[in-house]
Amino acid sequence: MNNTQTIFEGTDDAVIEALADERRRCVLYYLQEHEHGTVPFDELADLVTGWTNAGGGVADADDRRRVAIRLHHVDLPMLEETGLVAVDDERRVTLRSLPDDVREPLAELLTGRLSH
Amino acid sequence: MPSPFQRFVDAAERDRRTLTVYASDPDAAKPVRDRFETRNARIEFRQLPDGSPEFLVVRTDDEFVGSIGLNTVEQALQPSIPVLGTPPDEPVRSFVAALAGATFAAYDRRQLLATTREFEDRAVRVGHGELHVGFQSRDAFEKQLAGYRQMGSETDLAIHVYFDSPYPMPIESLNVHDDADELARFWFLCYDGGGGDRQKCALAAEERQPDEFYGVWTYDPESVDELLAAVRSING
Repeated sequence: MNNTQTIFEGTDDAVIEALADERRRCVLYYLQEHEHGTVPFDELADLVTGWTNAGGGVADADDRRRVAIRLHHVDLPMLEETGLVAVDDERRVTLRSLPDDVREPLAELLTGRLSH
Repeated sequence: MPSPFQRFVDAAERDRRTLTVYASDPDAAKPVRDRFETRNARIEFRQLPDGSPEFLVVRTDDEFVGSIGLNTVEQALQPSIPVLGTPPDEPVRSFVAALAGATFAAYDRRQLLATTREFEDRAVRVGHGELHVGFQSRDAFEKQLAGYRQMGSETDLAIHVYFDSPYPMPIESLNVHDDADELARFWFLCYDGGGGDRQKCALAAEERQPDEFYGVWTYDPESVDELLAAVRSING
C-alpha cells in the first residue's frame, strides 16, 4: 500500500485504493490491452483465477467461483465507483478512462518490478 | 434412433475443450499446441505483459474446468526428463493427464484421410478380425475399391462395407450391406483389433458443409467396442 501510494502520488485516494489489490490491477491492465477495452466478465474471472493461482498447483471450479464472487461484489464495484470501468447489463466490462499518470506505473506494478 | 456415429461425433464435440494460453510470448503456446491440437481441443492465446505469471485456462463451451501455471504443465508433460525439485503432485498429474482425452478430433480432411489410411494399415498388419467401413458416398468407395478388394483377398479380415441403397454388383471378398441408412451418411471405420485391445480403433467423420468435415477418432477399447456393438446390431 505504501509503495502504491508513492507511485501514484497525487492520484485520487479512491483510485489508489482500487489499485492496491493485485486482482484489480490485473483486470485494469487486461482491459487496457484487449478487445478495445471491453471484455466479458467470464473472461476476466478466468484471467484472475489463472493469474493469482499460477504459482501453485491446479485452480479448480471452486477457486474460480470464489474469484468470480469477489470480482462481482467487491472488485468491479470498487473500480466502477472510481469511474475507471463500467459494467453493462450483459456483464461486459469496459475500461472508461485510465489517467496517464496511472497507465504506465500500473503496467510496471503488475509485473512486479515496482511491487517490492 | 440417431446413428452410433452421430452420437460418437456429438459426444466428442460436447467434450471439446478450449485451452487458452496466457503468456507474454506467443511461442509459449507452441508446446501446448503441439501436444493437444489433435486431442479434441482448440488452442488459443492471450497476450500478457512481460514478466507476468503465465498460465493455461481450460474450459468446455460453458464451464471453467481449471487453470494451471504454464511451468507446471511443461514439467508434467516431460515425465521422462528428470526434474530437479519435487515431482508434480497428484492433482497436477491427473489434471494434465485429463487434458489429453481419449478422443482425437480434426476439421482437416487430409488429417482424417491420413488417420483412415493408418487404421486400414493397422488392420492389414494384424491380418484378421472385423473391419467395418462406410464411405459416405459410392464415389468415395469406388476410388478405394481396388485396395479393399485386395485387402479382402489377401488377408483374413472380415470386411463389411455399408451403403444406403442396393449396390449394383456383388464385390468378391467384401460383405456389402446396402440398406444401412443410419450408417451410410458417415465416413467411418471401426476395427476390432483382431480380438485384442491394443489394435482397436474407430473413426467417424461428418460432412457438415460440402467438403467441410468434423471427424473424431479413438483408440479407447471401450469406445471402439461400443461402436462395434451398435454397428453389429444394426446389421442384424
